[in-house]
Amino acid sequence: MNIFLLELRNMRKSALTGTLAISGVIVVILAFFPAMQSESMQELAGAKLEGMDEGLLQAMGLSTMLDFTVITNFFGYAIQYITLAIMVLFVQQAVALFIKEETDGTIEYLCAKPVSRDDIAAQKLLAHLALVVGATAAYTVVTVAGYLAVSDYTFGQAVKEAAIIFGGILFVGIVFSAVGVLASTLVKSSRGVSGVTVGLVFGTFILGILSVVIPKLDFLKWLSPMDWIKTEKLINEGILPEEWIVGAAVILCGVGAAWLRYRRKDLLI
Amino acid sequence: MAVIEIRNLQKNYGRHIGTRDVTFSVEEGEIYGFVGPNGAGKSTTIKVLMGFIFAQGGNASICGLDVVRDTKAIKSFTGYVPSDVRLYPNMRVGELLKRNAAFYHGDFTGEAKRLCALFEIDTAKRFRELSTGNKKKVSILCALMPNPKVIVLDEPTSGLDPVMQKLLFEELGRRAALGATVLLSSHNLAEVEEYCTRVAFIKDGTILAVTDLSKDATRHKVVTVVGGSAAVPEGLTLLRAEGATRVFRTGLAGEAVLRALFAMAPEDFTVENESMEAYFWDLYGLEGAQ
Repeated sequence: MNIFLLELRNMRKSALTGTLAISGVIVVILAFFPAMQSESMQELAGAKLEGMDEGLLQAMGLSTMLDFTVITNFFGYAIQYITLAIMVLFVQQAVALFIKEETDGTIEYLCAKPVSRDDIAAQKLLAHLALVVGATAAYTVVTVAGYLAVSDYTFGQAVKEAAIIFGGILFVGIVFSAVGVLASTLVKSSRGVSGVTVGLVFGTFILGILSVVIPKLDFLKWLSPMDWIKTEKLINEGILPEEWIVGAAVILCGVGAAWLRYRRKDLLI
Repeated sequence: MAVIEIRNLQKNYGRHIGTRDVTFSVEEGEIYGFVGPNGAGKSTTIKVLMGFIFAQGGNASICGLDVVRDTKAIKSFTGYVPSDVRLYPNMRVGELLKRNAAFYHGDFTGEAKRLCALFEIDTAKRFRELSTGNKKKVSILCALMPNPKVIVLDEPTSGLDPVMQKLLFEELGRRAALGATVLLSSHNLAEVEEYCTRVAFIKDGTILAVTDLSKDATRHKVVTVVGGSAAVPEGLTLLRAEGATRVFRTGLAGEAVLRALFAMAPEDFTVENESMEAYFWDLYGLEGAQ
């Protein structure tokens, strides 16, 4: 487990900083919820949302969630954008997983130790998974605490709703991570990490919007995991069986291809 | 017994040739030099040996184990010092050494302490705070700490001061005497000449020659004569002349050299082995030391 521990040690600062920042955003968003209870705010938000195009509301996952006095609707709207930030964080870590040590040159040290490429790949992937699960657990705890502080939800209700939202985020986070680790074995330098991350997360997000706005492009929803976890859909329908299958296939193919590539790759040192 | 064996190693980086045909072997207990100009294929050969990259042709083994298939087992008894040392910058040296030891599942506290004292390493400093030479020393320590049977060093003395260079070679010599096998890639011909038993010369990805420094049999001699006959005996090549002093180079050995000297009948003479530097220039077909 030396590589696993080493990876956690090397990633701890950036992972902790990202997790704290996103947890802070969740806290701040939830702190605004009591203000949404006032009549003037309800009128303001309601007027703005009702004036929006139905297609756009659907694209934003708001077609049945216009009442922001309900915490599920209010947080459900905000979490979609927080999810983008969470995915950027996860994908950034995933894309950096293999290539960073090559760019930094530390892989020469690691690879000279009595470890195989399989050991390195397996332990690095496990470490990344641990960070993804850990961060998602932290967001879940913060959200449950926030729900209890600002709404009249019981502990059970808060846990159930947070588990549905962040369970979906965890699944999609792993799907994105699988593509990210594959990219990590393909890019030539860690300088390409940000570009790949932004392209992957925002690119698929835009594909999802297009699939809603342009009916002919409906099939693009399968390429947009962010669409699978729009809160409105997640609360009402959960993740659909087809989405589980597509997601699992992407995870298997992404991780499998990354592993095979890393086993026979000439390290860039 | 050959500990490191490399046969017909071929490695291309796209159109660029890393190694064309590298073949040599290193015997147990030997300090083996590996010399060549930049881009000749030294580092490529070492990277294949260490499993960092994969060859397209040929094969390589350490202690009979294949460097691709058995890389994990090989590294359990092989220490490696890279030419450019890059470790985790924010880690303190002490932590680096602890984590390094953890890979080998043993207690190397005593050996680590001895080597830290020998190479004067401050374990409290962060790696990024160290000078180039001290970074190199940490890398050497990481490689030597688990008492490897095989030690592969790529330019180990670059950045080290002369005292540390001497200490390193004394340490390597001590380990070689105990049976460790050392492969030393270097640009420093003087250190290769002084410490290595054999040396492989590589150019354009091909081994040009393997010279046994312990026998000196394959190296030329430099004959300096003062006065005597102006004729140049067969087998001697005039390198330079200054007044009555003439310097020759010859591939002759023993009695043949004496006969040539007798024919010239000089007032005075010296015969010495050609320096490694001169040999290098000659082998690579370059104008130089002579």
